[in-house]
Amino acid sequence: MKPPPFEYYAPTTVEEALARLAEHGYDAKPLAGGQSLIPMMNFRLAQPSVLVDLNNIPDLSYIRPNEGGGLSIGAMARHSMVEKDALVAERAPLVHETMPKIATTQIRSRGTFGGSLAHADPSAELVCASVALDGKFKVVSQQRERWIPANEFFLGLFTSALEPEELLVEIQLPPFPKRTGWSLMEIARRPHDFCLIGVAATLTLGKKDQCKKARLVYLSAGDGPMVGQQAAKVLEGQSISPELFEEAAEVASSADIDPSSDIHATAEFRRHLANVLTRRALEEAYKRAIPNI
Amino acid sequence: MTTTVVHERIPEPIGESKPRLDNRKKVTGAATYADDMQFGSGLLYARILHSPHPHALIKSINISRAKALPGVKAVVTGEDFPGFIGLYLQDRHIFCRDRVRYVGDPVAGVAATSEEIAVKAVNLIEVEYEVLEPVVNPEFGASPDAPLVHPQLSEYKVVPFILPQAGTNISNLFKVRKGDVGAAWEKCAAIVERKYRIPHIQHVPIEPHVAIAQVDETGEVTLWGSSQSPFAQRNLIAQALGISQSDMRVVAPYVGGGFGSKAGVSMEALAVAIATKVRGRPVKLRLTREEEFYTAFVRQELISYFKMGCDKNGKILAMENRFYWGGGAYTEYGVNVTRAAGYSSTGPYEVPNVKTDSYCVYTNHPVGGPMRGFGMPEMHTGLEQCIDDLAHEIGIDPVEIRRRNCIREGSILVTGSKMHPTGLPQCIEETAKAIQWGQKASPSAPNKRRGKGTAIMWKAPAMPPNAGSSAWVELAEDGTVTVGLGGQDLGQGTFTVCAQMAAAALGVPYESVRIATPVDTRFSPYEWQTVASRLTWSMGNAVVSAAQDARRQILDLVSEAWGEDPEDLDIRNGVVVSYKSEQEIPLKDMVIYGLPKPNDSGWMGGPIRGRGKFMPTYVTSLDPETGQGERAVVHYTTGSQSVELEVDLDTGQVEILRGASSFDVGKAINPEMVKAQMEGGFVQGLSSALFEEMKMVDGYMQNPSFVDYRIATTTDAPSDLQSVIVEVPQDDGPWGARGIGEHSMVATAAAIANAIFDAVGIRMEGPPFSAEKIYLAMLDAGIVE
Ligand SMILES: Cc1cc2nc3c(=O)[nH]c(=O)nc-3n(C[C@H](O)[C@H](O)[C@H](O)COP(=O)(O)OP(=O)(O)OC[C@H]3O[C@@H](n4cnc5c(N)ncnc54)[C@H](O)[C@@H]3O)c2cc1C
Repeated sequence: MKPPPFEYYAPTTVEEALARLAEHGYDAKPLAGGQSLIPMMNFRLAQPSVLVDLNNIPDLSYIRPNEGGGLSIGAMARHSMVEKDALVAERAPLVHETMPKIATTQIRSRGTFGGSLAHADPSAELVCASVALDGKFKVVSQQRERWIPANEFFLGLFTSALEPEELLVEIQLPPFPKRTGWSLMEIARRPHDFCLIGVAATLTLGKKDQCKKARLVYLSAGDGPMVGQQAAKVLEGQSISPELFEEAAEVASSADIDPSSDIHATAEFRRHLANVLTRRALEEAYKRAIPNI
Repeated sequence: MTTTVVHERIPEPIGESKPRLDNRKKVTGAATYADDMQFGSGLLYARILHSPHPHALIKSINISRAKALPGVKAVVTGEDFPGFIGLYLQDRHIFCRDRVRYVGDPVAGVAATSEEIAVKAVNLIEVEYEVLEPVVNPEFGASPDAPLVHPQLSEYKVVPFILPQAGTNISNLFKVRKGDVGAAWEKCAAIVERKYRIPHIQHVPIEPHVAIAQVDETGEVTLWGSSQSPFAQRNLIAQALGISQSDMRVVAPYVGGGFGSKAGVSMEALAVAIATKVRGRPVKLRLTREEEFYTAFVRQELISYFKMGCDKNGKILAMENRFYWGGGAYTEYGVNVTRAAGYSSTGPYEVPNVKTDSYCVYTNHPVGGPMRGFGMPEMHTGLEQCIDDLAHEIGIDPVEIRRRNCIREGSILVTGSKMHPTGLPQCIEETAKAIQWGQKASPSAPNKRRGKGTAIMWKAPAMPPNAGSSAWVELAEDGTVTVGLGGQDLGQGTFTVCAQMAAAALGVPYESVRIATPVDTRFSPYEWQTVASRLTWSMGNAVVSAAQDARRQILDLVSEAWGEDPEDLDIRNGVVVSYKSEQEIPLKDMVIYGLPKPNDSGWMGGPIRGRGKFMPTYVTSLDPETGQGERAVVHYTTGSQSVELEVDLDTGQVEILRGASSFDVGKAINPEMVKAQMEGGFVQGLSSALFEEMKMVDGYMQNPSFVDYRIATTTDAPSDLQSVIVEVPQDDGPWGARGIGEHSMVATAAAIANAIFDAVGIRMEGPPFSAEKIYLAMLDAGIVE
């Protein structure tokens, strides 16, 4: 299928784009890589009558170091650019490891970092990784500029805190904490598919090598990025052991997530896989935290 | 036999992996596909209104609002086209008349000046339906309790070897009664009985179906389309419209993949039918991917029951098989799948006592058509698992039981025919060697289990006994050669292989041979269809015979001019040479203008054009009650496949580590392309084993897009894929060649299932073997938790 007819604008500055969005309000949508928006339009799941193409705005595509060890990524930075960036590899190893797991080479050469977040798909790796890493998002409109923490940005299925006239322009990732290991694991029908279930994990060790802090954020596990809050409670303050990870996995897969059934897998199987992945991700994160001790 | 060309000396470039003829055109984008063709501003766009119901009566159709829309040039319905269409069984109208039989059944068609207007017009057509109970299970469909999908079945026109059962949904029943199955069971030391269920899957070629039709003022019809079967389309559409085959022309440019879906006639008839109402203007119909899923051919689903028994040495004594083929709403083509499964129902084994009932059953599902393997993958997937189970039951190694029972030259086959020379035993050894059968490698992680599996296969070209081929060979002023043929290159490389054969038979370099494309029924020689893996063999024979005819004309002319015996002459590398006088003359100096007569007395010869044909003449009919006969088919290609895989005990995920294929192709005309077929077939088989399924609920497909219908891509193929060619010549194949196109996916799913069993000891009713299914089966079997 092809999308229904729409008007198309190709501004070259952020200001111009914001003016178009302000003018058309709910009828308009920004177009980034188009790897999600265009299929949604083809399936009539989205029917914007105006597209504001961001691809001609050079100012939105960058990766910059921040003072103190963090990173800023422009919304229009392509997945492939982030994937190959040395600074990302150094300062945001979880993101670096995540990128090749997003779709295929072809899609990563078009799809954008900001587009993936703005799309707010609970199956998107970056949505969960950004929450696990406590990222924050710079959002602008003609009227105002605001910063939204990742854990407040995602409101539900394909729903974010973005207002129709707003653009996501930058993502900031804080410095990666010391003594911290990471892991992003997922299970898909085929390696490049959206996953049946996945988890982004970070694990910070304390002085006595106990778990000081744990973040588990699940993909394809509910209406948004599903944070393993109860599992984190199980982990935090405890000394590391396989039994501890098992208990956390049990709690996360039964209490923290809310997966549904579709033609690819049942909810029960997804819970089972979440259990397996939680254990594996925690083990991997733990192994990676150790060398930093 | 018409053209036996098994030479002692294999001439160049037979057996050489020549580069494909179409490489450059395809890589540079110069190759023209049907959708690329330009028809100017007169082009109209067609869209189709499809049935939203799996089964319903059409109470009324109102097209007046659609007709009134500006830009709409024609709106047609079943009223306009009373004729029937169908390859083996004419059970289909071009547009539905009184009844719709699947979600997607064409109800009305529109031609308009733009695709947008056509879509709008389709939405303005009002149809009133009376919804009926759908038949969604072929086994139930075959029972007397099932509602009838085709109440007029007994009135349909049908070829003699297809046997519809009046008053039922059974559009064909093929029976085998050989030996005495009943008496054999008590002699068996082990018996297994199994049921399998194979879902509908689809061909999903990259290029969706597209057809452009034009009817001129005198009623002559031209159809341009992405087609495996230009001549069959000419014949069937002409019959349906009641016009002469000679007034129906089909032009078939490059095809972006077919796998069977573009054989016979499907959506092409819609474009032609609509075009009859807008004379003079070309009408283009192009399916979207969703329409591909809903309305193009699908592979039959199958519910199969096997019972087989062997003696204490593993010798198979009897088989009793029942197949319920879910043929979908129309089985005009699918009926022959049922028949093929019947006459192949023992698999590649010699079995003295056989009882088979192979039913083709109408359901309210999409239309079952030919798909790579033509029923054999579906049948072998169950049969070859059953053979493994029988081996385990009697305590014999699975490869060994196959060695002991597989068909060999002279074996008496399920139909009573005698097996021709075959390399199957050798194929079994090759794949066992390649996969290191008997050696168990340790898994890559403690939570994984490794397994190996093997499966063997046979398949004959499933076609009418007298499906024919023809060809011509022409030479140009510079001595280059153009081969005319009517088969189609679907990516399998048939043009390349035919060019190699023409070069070899004529005595010219491969590089100087061209193929006359696009295939055009007005100018190309007749070819039945590009199906059944029959082109290398059948069309190849025709090409060879045309090249030999041209060669004979050339040598006769030169022998006369030189006063030599043609026996002393030869054509080498484009030059006629005499072994006696050592004279020589390049072809370019004589193939158009001939040669001067001696003493300036005039000229002789003239433009050279060779003609050739081939048709098997020896296939006999089979007894309708017993399925026995002298010779059921032309030949069987046989082969073996093995896989090694790992199953993750925690998640049920399967990783295919290695695959090995070995097939007896008689003679590999182009070994690299034969291997490409083996690899491609393996991956498609893997895809059907692990991923593919058209999920049907109450007759509605749940996953009509690539988001939800998953096929294997390169990332899913194992990097270690071995292909071993075995060559036991076919007596009537060109240099002994027989087909390989379909065979390479027949045994794959079974080999994977057997390897999963080897790894974790579980069996499933049918593919796709998803992680969840495997995990649940492991839970059930108590292998995990
Ligand atoms: C076959 C396939 C497989 C895929 N698999 C995966 C996968 O495994 N994992 C995964 O994470 N993704 C996957 N994707 C999606 C891909 O990563 C997309 O690139 C991404 O989700 C959206 O990015 P985009 O730049 O293409 O955004 P678009 O499609 O252009 O836009 C997406 C949405 O975000 C809005 N938007 C975009 N940019 C902005 C902005 N700066 N400010 C405000 N709103 C904005 C758009 O209006 C639209 O609503 C897949 C896509 C395809 C086609």
